[in-house]
Amino acid sequence: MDHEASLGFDMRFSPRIVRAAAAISGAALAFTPGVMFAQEPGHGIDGASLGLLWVVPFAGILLSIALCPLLVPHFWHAHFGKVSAFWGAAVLLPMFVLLGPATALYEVLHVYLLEYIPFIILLLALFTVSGGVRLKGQLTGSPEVNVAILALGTFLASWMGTTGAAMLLIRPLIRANAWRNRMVHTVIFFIFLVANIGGSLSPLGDPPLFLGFLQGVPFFWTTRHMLFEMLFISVILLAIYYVWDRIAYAREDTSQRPRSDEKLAIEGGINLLLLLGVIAAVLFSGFARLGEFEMYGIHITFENVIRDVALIGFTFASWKLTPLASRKANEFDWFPIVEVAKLFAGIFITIVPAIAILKAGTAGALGFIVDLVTSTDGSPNTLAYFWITGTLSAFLDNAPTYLVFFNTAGGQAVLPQLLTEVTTLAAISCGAVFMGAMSYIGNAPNFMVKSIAETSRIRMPSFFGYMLWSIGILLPVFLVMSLIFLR
Amino acid sequence: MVKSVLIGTNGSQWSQSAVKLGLSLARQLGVRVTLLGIVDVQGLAHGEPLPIGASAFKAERDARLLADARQRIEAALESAAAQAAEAAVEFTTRFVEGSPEEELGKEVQRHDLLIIGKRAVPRSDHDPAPSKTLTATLHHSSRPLIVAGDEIPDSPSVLVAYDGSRPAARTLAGYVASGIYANNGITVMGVGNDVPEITGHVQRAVDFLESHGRSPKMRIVPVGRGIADALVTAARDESAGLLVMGAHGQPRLKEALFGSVTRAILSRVPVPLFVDH
Repeated sequence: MDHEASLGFDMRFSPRIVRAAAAISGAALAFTPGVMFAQEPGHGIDGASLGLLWVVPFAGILLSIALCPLLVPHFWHAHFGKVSAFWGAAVLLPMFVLLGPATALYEVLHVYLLEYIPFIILLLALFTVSGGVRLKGQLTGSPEVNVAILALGTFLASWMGTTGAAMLLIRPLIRANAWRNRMVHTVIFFIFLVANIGGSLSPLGDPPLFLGFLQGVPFFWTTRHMLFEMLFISVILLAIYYVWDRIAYAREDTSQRPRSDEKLAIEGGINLLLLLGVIAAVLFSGFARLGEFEMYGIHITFENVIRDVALIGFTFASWKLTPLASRKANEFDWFPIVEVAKLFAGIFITIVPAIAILKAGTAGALGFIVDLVTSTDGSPNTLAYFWITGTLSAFLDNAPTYLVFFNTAGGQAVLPQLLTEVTTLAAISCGAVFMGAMSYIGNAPNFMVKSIAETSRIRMPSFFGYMLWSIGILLPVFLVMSLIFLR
Repeated sequence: MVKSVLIGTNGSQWSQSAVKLGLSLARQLGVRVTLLGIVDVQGLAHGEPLPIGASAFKAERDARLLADARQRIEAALESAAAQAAEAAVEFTTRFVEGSPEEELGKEVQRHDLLIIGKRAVPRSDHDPAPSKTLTATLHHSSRPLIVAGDEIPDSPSVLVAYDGSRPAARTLAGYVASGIYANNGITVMGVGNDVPEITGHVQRAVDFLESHGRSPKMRIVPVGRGIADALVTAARDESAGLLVMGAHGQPRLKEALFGSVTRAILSRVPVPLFVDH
């Protein structure tokens, strides 16, 4: 496979894309009642005045991501960057026409400088650094060893990202169990725990939590307030897995079992130090207060700039210090991060009107979403927050889903209240992180793990076959967890 | 009379049975065979929903699975060609990529008879998923089809399962026209509890076979524990090397929920099954 190795974005618009986006912008104009936009940089959009058509590009890009790989796989693989650019332009052009260049530029800079660029830099750093660590050696896939690997991965996921932990451990886990006839259940529980649930305790664990961190949620807030939820689910799942694997193991022909464990060794250990650096850089930006500077009405703090520069430095150091052979053995490729960068470039633009409308609360065109998660007495319905955020995160990307419900709950304007009251934000965070495990497309590492297992000739369940597992096992556990912790 | 035979092979245990049976029949009939290997591109690299950041993993997986499949099919064709040469059967090999159902459907139009293996049932998580090719081919093949079993007796007799239906009558006519095992013993069997009615059906098949110079035996058995059981017992008693039977189409939902007699027979009867849908 010969993928583009650069990290540049393909944001050139063809005339056809511009014409189509202009058509959509015209329609948006026609359906926007009493458009009122701030004309000065720094004031942003008045969401209460926006019609529902402004949300079409956001829905469009999310649906394109969900459906195009299924319906037009070759087109999608070759052109997803252009599709992302198309939907981004479908928001930018109307903004440009209706608001004027100044406010459109402000909105783009605001979302890119404060959210998109730091988000991509962190993902790039975690992807590069964790992709340089390799676990060598051979274990024997007994129930005890498998539970230990799952537990280790669940712990690591919060600190090196679900993708990093999953990529580090899935190949050793498959190697350890290669002699066994039954191992699909092991891969599925690995997806549940390591690729999703384990990533709930820090902003490094799962992208939506980092977006929360960028919005002002303290670094250790999730550690403190999602710990019991995460432990409750993890312990139950590990116990179910152990019993399941014991029964499966008893039916295996143990004469095929490798005779002894080969000593484990870490290759690319320098990346573990760099990973500590990544954690330290993010922590630093959460605690240090070094002042800020203004760019086009946008306030950028020095600690965030230092964090991002440091993360780029760690990325560069990891690339230079990790032997290429080690990267090849890990099957490291830049393409996934390029794909993430291109698609999120569109998502972060298209989500701007949606967030503005949600900020308007019940007065906005998306007031029905606010109503959905509000009790009759006007208080937040935390169970609704959990299940709706979770259901959407199971099939759409959980990062924008988190942002939508974070803003539905009031967003940065009521952050102190959200942090003190705890349950609403915990419900949104739990829904976004935990329920990504419900389908192969709920979180990127789910599908990565599936692909690696299938490449190793493991017959993984189909899309709906996997959902029978998740509905049968995860849903009851989530139900009990939500009733205990999120009411 | 059969003039040319198409044998599908994918390297599985059952398709090796198909090659063995096909070459044995081709040698007896003195006809040429085409050995067809198909890489199921759609099955291995189909579109599926993807999360953001995972498309490279899918592309990598698809490329590897396709490369493995190409290697496996090429090896299967080489092995089948070597067996054909050893059996002194005139043969050609064809390697194609596409949907097995479609490619078999196209290629079989050049031949009189198609021979393929049974559907392999996975016994471990490492075995490939069961192929849908056999079910589709049973329903849509434009030529008579033999599904190879796991046994090829030396001097086989032929067992005809006959219920008087249109598929059964067409299959019997197709079998007679094929000339396969034309000089071997043949038994026409009816399964049912209404003996006079079943006997009437079977007698028509016996008359047809006698008009083609065959001397069939007649066998009527009660349903008992099911049609598949009755056929397994009869095949064993008669030392049958070929079971001739009409395949009954039924709605896919019904077949998915309750299975079909044909599928039950395919999974349980060890002898090759001749079907003309």
